[in-house]
Amino acid sequence: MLLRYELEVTTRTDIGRVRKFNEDSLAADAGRGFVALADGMAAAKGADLAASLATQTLISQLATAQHIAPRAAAHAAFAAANRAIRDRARTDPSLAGMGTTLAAAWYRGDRVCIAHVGDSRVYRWRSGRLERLTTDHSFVQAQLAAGQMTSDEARQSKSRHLVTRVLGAEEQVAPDLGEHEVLAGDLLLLCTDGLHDLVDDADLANALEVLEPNLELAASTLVAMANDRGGRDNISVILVRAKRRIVPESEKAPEPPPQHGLFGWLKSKMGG
Amino acid sequence: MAKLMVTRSGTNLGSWFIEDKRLVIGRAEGVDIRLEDAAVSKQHASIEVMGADHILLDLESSNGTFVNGTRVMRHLLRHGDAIDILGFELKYVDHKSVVVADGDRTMIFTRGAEGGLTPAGAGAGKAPLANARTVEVELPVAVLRGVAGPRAGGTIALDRPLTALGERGRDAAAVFRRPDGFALARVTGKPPKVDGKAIPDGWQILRDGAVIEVGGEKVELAYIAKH
Repeated sequence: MLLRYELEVTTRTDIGRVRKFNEDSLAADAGRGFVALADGMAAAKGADLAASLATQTLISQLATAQHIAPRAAAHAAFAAANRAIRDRARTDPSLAGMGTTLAAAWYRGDRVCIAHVGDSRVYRWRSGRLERLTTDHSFVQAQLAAGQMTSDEARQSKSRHLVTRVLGAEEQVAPDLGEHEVLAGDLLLLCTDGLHDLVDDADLANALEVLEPNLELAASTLVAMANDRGGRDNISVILVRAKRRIVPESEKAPEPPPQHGLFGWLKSKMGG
Repeated sequence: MAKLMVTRSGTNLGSWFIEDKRLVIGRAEGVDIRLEDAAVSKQHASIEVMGADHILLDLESSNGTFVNGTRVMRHLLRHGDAIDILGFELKYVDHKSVVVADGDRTMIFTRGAEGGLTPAGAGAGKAPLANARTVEVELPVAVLRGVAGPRAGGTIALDRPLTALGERGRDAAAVFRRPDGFALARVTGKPPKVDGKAIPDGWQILRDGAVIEVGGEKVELAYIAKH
């Protein structure tokens, strides 16, 4: 199905202030309406490989699944990415245990499909309000949901980087899927925990409110905010703005015949 | 592994390791950490284990549980915390949690058969845990004073990370509060002027007293405190 919106996409990734390598991976295809980011992890090595296998496999799978229902396509693409990581890990013992988060947004028609595993997030900025569209697959999120921890404790938890669902860890992976209507002007923010661990939702909203007219500046400033607060992890950000609707020629309604005078006007109001 | 080092008036009473089950602290026989003093409640406090975290709970004791001088009912323990129960000091030590040389690592955990959490793949046990302290960044304090335009004579607080200036969607700029000072950048339209000169794109640090002109507004930066 054709995209009903023109997408303006900006991506940024930064090593941060502490880590020696950037193990995040980003992919974007504004023309087809796909964006994805991944935050890799590994026992020995392969964190960056797992992350880039995930984003690349996802994007190429989605490209061939344009005519499949969005949910089925997303499931298949996440399964393919999981398989790609596990197959690769089997070829080299030093890659055993590599895995990655993956968050993706995929625009079709006037809707967007959001899928994720792990603690990379998708937010929506709409009419001056920030809304989180994903729920982290993490230890602290589970504690929060069960009422075992307060949000203050969760922020300070030593376990706040423990993810409970990733690509690569198990034979099967179940992404969380959501489908949302897109309105002109909607902005999606995809980010790894290098951003949202250090910059809380209120400050993310403040940055988007002030900088949203300039996506390049908004993306680089979000990265700078995380670095100003210590930059303890790699920081990756994708911003996607859905701009004016593009009506495909084939779907345009034929021009109505001209109506003249009061009678014509009345006729048009009464449905002819 | 985390532990509690217990002292009273400088006398070392021993150390207790916190493993995977809760510890009860009190005066009663059979509790895990026994504090022998009549003013200590029988079951005075407990340490709850939540993965790598340890939460101190006051079990409705008569005389209270204090951490670093503050009375608490519930407290997530951090390396170096000193728990005080009627003159007994229980120092919480978790060296693993202060290793941050390699930053914050994301790790994979899976749910074990009994619902407990066990490390899986990704060598979770070996990876350093992050320092659990919240981010404390020293930020400068300043305001903008309106010189001309709609906010002339007024004061604009700069207490959020970003503050908008000018006309939204037209000639607009933003002020960014950063640890090394306040910075200005063009958001849309014509570049703002600082002290009469248009600035290049990107964040430009502002001096104290800088005069900013953008979209019909003229404001002056006034520092109150600088770190």
